[in-house]
Amino acid sequence: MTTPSTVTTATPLIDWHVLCQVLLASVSIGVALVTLFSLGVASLSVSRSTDGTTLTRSAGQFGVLVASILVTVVIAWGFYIITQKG
Amino acid sequence: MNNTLILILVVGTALAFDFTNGFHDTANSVAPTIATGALKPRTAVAFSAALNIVGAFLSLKVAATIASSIVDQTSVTLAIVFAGLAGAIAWNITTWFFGLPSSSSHALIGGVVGAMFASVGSAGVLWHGIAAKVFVPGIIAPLVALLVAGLATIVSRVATSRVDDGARTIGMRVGQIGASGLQSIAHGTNDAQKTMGVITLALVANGTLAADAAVPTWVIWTCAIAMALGTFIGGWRIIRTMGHGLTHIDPTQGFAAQMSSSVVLLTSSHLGLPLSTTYVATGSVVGTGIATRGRKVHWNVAGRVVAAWLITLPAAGLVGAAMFGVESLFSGSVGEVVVAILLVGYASAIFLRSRRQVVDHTNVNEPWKSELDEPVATAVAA
Repeated sequence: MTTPSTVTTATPLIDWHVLCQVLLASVSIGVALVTLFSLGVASLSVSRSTDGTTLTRSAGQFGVLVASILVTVVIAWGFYIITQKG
Repeated sequence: MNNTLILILVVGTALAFDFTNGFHDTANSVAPTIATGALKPRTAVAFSAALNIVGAFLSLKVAATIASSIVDQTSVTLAIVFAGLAGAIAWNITTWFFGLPSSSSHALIGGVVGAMFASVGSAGVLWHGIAAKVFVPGIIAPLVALLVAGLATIVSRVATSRVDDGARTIGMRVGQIGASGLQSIAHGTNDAQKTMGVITLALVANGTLAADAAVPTWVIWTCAIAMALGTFIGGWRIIRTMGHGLTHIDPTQGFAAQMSSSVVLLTSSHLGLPLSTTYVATGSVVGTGIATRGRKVHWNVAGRVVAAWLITLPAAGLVGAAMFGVESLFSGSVGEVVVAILLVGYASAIFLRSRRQVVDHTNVNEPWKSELDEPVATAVAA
């Protein structure tokens, strides 16, 4: 019965390295993704604006396209992680 | 015959736990979606339930272990698993009644630890594992989520400051639906597999399956359907607490909270530090409330939620230990039958008691300060 506890005590209670990685990755990816999507919403609004110039509407459409692609890539990454874990 | 009866009881109880896991944890993925009107309540839970089933089939890397690194795996018996499941179900039903989001996984761990403690004593419990895998992540999860969701809320408001309210609301609601879907799939993959693991373990222990056999298709289907049914029925009391009790949520906050939860859960899992979905989702909602100027966080409700988190492990453990004690009083499989009867009786009593103050899809979005205000206090006082 001593074996399991002997084995597990070798593992640190808090893996600070992983914790810092989780914190940094979560903050950077989370904030970046929400920002991208929000900019996509803002770009969509600009692209549909009736009082804007052709240039601003085109820029808005480009913004929507870029935001959509990036958000899709991140969601695909999410699916990848879901299917890899367990 | 005795072994077959115990196996049937364990499988049935595992599916019952899976069902409670579904309705208990629905709130994590749909509460903000419902609170902001991104989806109607019934549509939101149906959407989430369907994606639970998809998630259950996405990955089948099931480990036939229960509470790995938490209890000594060589001492796990069907009687311990059964008592542990009973403890987890009892705690899930209790916290649902009080509208408190608590971790179903931690309830299961608590139940098994309690039953193990009653069976072989302290030697069967890996205390270091409990600290490392339950307490530390339990503290980290809501804090990380709170930080990410808070920052995301601020950035999202700045980025959409020039967008008119109508366009922003529609855009953010679409984003919420996507994030909710991602969380529902992840929930189906993670939590349905835990039940698949329990049932597989029971089948192996009974000699029905070889140790290296693949998970039978019927196990996958029944686990997926049990969880989806629970999700579809909807734990409306917890959804209400998550969507309205902690703070008022608008679509920008809802999107920031749900996307932050998805990212924190996926990132932490990918990096080898899996965090509780419930703690992350709750932390995100509180974080988005803190980061919104003029928004009030109901700290009294948040305090009760944290209190529930703190007592989840010991409470489920106590019930698990008590159930194991009851099992031990009888010979053969009579003890398991008695425990099953006690569990059904308790669940029925709680359900009947909950009918005095119904919270369902028709009133889940009532303003928090109403006749449904403070369901916990009202339920206790009534």
